[in-house]
Amino acid sequence: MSIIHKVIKQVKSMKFGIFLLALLGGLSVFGSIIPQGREIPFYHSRFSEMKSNLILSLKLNDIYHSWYFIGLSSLLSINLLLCSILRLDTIIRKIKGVPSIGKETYIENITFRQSDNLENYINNLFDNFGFKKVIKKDKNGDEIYYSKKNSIGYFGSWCIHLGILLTIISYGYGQYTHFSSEVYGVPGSEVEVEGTEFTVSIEDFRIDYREDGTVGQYYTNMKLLNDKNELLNSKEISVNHPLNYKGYNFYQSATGWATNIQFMKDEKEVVEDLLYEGTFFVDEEEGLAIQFTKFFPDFVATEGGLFTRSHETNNPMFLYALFFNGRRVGMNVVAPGDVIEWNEYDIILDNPKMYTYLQVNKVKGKLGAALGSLLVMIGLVLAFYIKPVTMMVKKTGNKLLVYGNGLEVVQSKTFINKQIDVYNEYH
Amino acid sequence: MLIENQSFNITLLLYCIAMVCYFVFFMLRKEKLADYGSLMIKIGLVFHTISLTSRTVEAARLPLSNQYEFATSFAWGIAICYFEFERRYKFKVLGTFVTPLLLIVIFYAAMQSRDIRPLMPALQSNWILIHVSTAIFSYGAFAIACGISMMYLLRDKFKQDTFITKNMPSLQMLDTISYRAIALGFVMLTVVIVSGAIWADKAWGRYWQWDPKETWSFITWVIYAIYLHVRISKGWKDKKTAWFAIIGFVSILFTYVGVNTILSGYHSYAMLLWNML
Repeated sequence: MSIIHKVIKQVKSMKFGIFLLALLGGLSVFGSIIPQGREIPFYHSRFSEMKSNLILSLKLNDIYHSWYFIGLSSLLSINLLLCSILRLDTIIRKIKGVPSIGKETYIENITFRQSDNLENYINNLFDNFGFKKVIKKDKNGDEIYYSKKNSIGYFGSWCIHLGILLTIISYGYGQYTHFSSEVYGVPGSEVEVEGTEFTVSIEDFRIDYREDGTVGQYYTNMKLLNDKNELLNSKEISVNHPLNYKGYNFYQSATGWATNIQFMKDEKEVVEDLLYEGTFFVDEEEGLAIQFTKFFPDFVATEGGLFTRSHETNNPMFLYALFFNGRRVGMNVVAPGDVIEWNEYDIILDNPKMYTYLQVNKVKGKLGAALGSLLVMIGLVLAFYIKPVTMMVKKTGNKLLVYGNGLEVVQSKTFINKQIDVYNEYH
Repeated sequence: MLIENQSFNITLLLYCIAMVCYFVFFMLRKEKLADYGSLMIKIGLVFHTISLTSRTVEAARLPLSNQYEFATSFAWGIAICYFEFERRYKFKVLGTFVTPLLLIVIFYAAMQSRDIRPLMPALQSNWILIHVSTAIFSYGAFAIACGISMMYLLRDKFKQDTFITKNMPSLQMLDTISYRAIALGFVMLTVVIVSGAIWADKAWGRYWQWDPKETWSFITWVIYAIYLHVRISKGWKDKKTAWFAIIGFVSILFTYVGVNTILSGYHSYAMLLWNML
């Protein structure tokens, strides 16, 4: 056997498939322990130099996109294809073929005295086991009667493997063509979706609070527009209820606070803008920056820190930090509309409002993955709960040799003994 | 809340008594105690069901959404699976091996907060019903398989012990029952993973993100998939498959408890684990 044949034989073996599955499972353990997809400095700061170098050089920081993980998944796909999926003809042959005596379990032999009504007797024998269609064949001078039930169960393993293959390929395709972006804004704003022709018009955003102050649901009323400002779709989206348009899905993902900012120098307005929580307003010319650190709707200061008592804006306060030439020069809380003074600069944070944050995704291959999963589930039910059953009777001389596969032997023996009695009485 | 708490406490007590009965039955070989143990489990199951039902009524939803609710439902799933397997296969000694697993899960539930909280927006989906309810039965079936596999190992070790040979089925039978429990658990686990993926897609737009919970469900699925393959193709029906079933259940427990407590705090314990390597 040539080396190529040996390799192919190895690749399509179940042993190799199990080995690959175990390897992928083992690598996943590392993927669950080591934080995935962080910035490189994170690993340097978190681990010792040797470990961080090991993690980065082996790509353990992004294991599921590493060449070896993808390579092993591809090999598993090839193994699935060769190992079981291409064996469909074997399954069909098994279903259609005459059962082989060597493979069937011998159950009993029945000696008969005369052959009157023998066929009826044999049919009755099958019928009592629930076999309706009895096929008769002549094989090497013997008469063979056989019937099969639940043959669809043979497809179980095949369906599972096809389903897994379809899921892996669809997932891989989805990862390869994946599009992801985000948009955020306050009600009344229009935001372009980067990398697409779409613009999202945020009509309204609201949060339903329960009596205990917990969030019931987040709602964004949005319109989807194209580059000609034509309406493509509109919907009030909420968590678990996205808007779908041509494969693009818009998800309610997060929320936060925004504020209007007025930046003045020598009492003249320099600029007015919208500032989101956690972001900076930077005046590069003046070297001055202000960070809108956090918003407290119902502010309270305690020894333990700064808190909000509720979501109601009973005592609204902004926490801000001022920077001059990269150096922090101030940090404090301020009420909306109050002036933050620093040298000749006046800054006003006012009109706090909530913004909505939407995730935009387009993942291809979902249908394939769904179909694959469905096949796996159907396959599992077929493999575990639809057990193929075969019954065969061989007439040789004045004996009926009964064979079966999947029949409960004890039950069948009782049944056959009973049948023999009936048969003997009848004759 | 009062009915729920009282029923839960009675359940806990009855399951404890059941475990003691089964333990004494096994150690002192007093067969009558196994009957008491079985009775305690059945009465406990009734109170457990009352506890879950009253919580369902009070919360106006199925109790499937936080650590306490899932743990108590998980324990209920084990008890139901035990009840069915004991009824079907009629061997008393199974309780000796399953009740400790049942106790571990229900004690974990007892340590969690029992406050009824409304569902956060991400959990407001009908998929939670399929996802979590199938997980309960899947985990329950795997717990039974784990108990039976422990019996298998013991039966194998003490082949000559008359008490064990009398009260435990043959090794072949134990292997078959364990296989059936794993087959049921595996089908259910697949439904858990698929329904979770559909739900994740509805909520976040990605059906598979390799987050620790997903990853450990995948690892558990792989363990049982290997078990099924080697059992069918290699004919492993011995101690090796019994160990597989036990390791699989450890993985189940880690997926449920470990991922939430260890891996969710990426910056703490997981790092410790990594640094120990």
